Amino acid sequence: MRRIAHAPLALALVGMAWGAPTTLLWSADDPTAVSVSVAEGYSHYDATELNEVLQLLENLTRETAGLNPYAVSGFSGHPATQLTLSVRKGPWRIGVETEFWTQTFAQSDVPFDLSDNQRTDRITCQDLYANPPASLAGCIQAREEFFFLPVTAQVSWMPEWRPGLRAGLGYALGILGGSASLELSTTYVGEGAAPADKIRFDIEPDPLVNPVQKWFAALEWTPWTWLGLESRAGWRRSRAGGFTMRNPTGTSRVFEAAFNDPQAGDQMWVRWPATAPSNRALWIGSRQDAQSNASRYGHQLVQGVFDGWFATLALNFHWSLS
Amino acid sequence: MKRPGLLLPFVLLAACSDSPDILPPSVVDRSGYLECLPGARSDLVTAASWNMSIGFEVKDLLFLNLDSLRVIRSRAEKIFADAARSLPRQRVRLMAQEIAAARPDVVGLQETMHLERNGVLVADFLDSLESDLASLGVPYRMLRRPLNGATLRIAPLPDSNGVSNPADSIVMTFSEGQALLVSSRWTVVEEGLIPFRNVIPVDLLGIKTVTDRSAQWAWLRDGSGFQLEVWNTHLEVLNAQIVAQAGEFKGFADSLRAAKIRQGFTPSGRLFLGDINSEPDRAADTILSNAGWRDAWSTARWGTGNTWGGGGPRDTTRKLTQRIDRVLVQGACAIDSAWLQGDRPQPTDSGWLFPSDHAMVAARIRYGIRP
Repeated sequence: MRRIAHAPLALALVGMAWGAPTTLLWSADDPTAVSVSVAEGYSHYDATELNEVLQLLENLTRETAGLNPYAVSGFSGHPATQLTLSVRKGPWRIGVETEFWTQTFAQSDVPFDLSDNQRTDRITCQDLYANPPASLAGCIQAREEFFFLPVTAQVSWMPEWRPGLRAGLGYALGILGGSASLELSTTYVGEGAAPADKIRFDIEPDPLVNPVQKWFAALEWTPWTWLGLESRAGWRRSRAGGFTMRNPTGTSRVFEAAFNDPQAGDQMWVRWPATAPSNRALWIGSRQDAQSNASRYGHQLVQGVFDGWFATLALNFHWSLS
Repeated sequence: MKRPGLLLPFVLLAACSDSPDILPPSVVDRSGYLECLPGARSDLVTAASWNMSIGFEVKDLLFLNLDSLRVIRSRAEKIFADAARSLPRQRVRLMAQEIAAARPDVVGLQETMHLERNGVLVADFLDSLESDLASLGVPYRMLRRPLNGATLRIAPLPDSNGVSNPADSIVMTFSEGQALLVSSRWTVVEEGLIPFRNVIPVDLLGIKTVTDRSAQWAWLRDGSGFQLEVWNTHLEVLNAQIVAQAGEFKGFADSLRAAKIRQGFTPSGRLFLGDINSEPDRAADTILSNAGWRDAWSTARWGTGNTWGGGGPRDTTRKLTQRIDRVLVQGACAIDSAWLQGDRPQPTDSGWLFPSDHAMVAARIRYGIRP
């Protein structure tokens, strides 16, 4: 765990120690309540390998098509929506949380012109449409969508330190499922050029379901017994690897040319010549193909490392049962 | 009285001149780690690399509309028309004259095309070259490696009544590949071909295949016992593949050499001839130089040394704008000279003509120690 991840936890502990008149661990007389919580926040992660994949995609388009406007900015997190159903008895709360990670990336008007392999000037789709080369050129519209769904069982300890004010720590353990999808639409230009084509496929982690853990500190202010406002921050550990191409529909000549005709079940790798390790490139293929090329290439299965901090603000609705 | 200032304009002119000067043979190479020892054995080899240019763009087929018979036929007709317009027979004759003039000990040839239409020969570069060289009195042994062989059958277009005439079918028989010309100085001890793994998939009228890029190799020995390991290749047209193939080449070339040495061969020198589709200081060039391959041209010459330029072979105004062909060496103690041939149009019965869209790059290499 990174050092920065301890900061909110440590702050919460210090806060609790400062204001702790008593510590309640358990009492059979404690009231019981059911809570529904809706939260909006942000999940951060480095996702180093996925960002390298994006960078390698940019390199690929630059190397094959000259300088063009396709540039990636990488990603370091995304907004996250959480829905939690829990039961509270005294300071203890147990529940189930479902988190929705969704993000969309789009790259529009990415040109390619393979007729000039040594191109050093910048081209745009407008250039290609205005003066179409003999062939080998076109324009790509790309769209990627990520949808991951971490579901965790949670337990937290949040005594009421002041009337209407609870604070404490929690732990969550669960699973991370979901997938990404990529859609690539290509228009080819030039005399006798291929008709426009489109390919869409899912990218699923293998295994499809991966463990996720969270450690967090929370502070809840309950101005009314039925409504609370909770802020929560913590550290998440979750990984999803072995991104696998599934459910392809349609075709794309440029995609097949760039990635050597990938098939459903192929996985995403970073590959480099054994003799030139710094020349890393994105490669999509099967583990069997990777192993059969091992004498010439090193391969690294792309992993999605989603370890990172998160922070949310939630509205809690409580129904007292006793 | 000495007046060094008078020399300054000449020095500046020389520095700015685009026409390169031949550097004299040196005892210490540019990188300073090899030298030709006085009195020690040295073996002189003249080597050349030449892309013969098939005369049309095969990569045009990559994104062709294969659903349209009209487009397919039109592109096939264009290929035959471009091939005919490039005057292959005359060009090969010019190439033979250039090779005969230089008389290299070994020549690496790329894009060695064979093309037929409906069984009628349009061009066969190697048969023609072999015949022309023999008639010029400089016979070579030719190690042929045809690649990308395919026979494409293109249906006739139906007329307005929807009726097709089978006689209008087009059957295109095509191959292009590599070849090594080996002079009578050498005995070919062994030769072979190693395919690259990172290639481009292509759809040839419904036949899914890949570009057949490979590295040809030969182990040569002359009468004095000098042994030469020769590689001849043509790297891919797209940069991502070029870089990958350069990396593959380094690996398998060194691996093969080690295996051959274990079998008892004692290579005295190494030679790389090829069209690497990559200009100096690009990634592929760097991979090869990091692997110990020295560029003969930049070792011996100043100047750009461009070997390729766009435009057709009959376009006398065309300029060579890129240096993508190489003679690379290992184990040489000096490059006596390097030069280009076939870089100017020559008169033929059909007018002025370039032998190819590439120039032949040649070098005289002095091997002094083992690599």
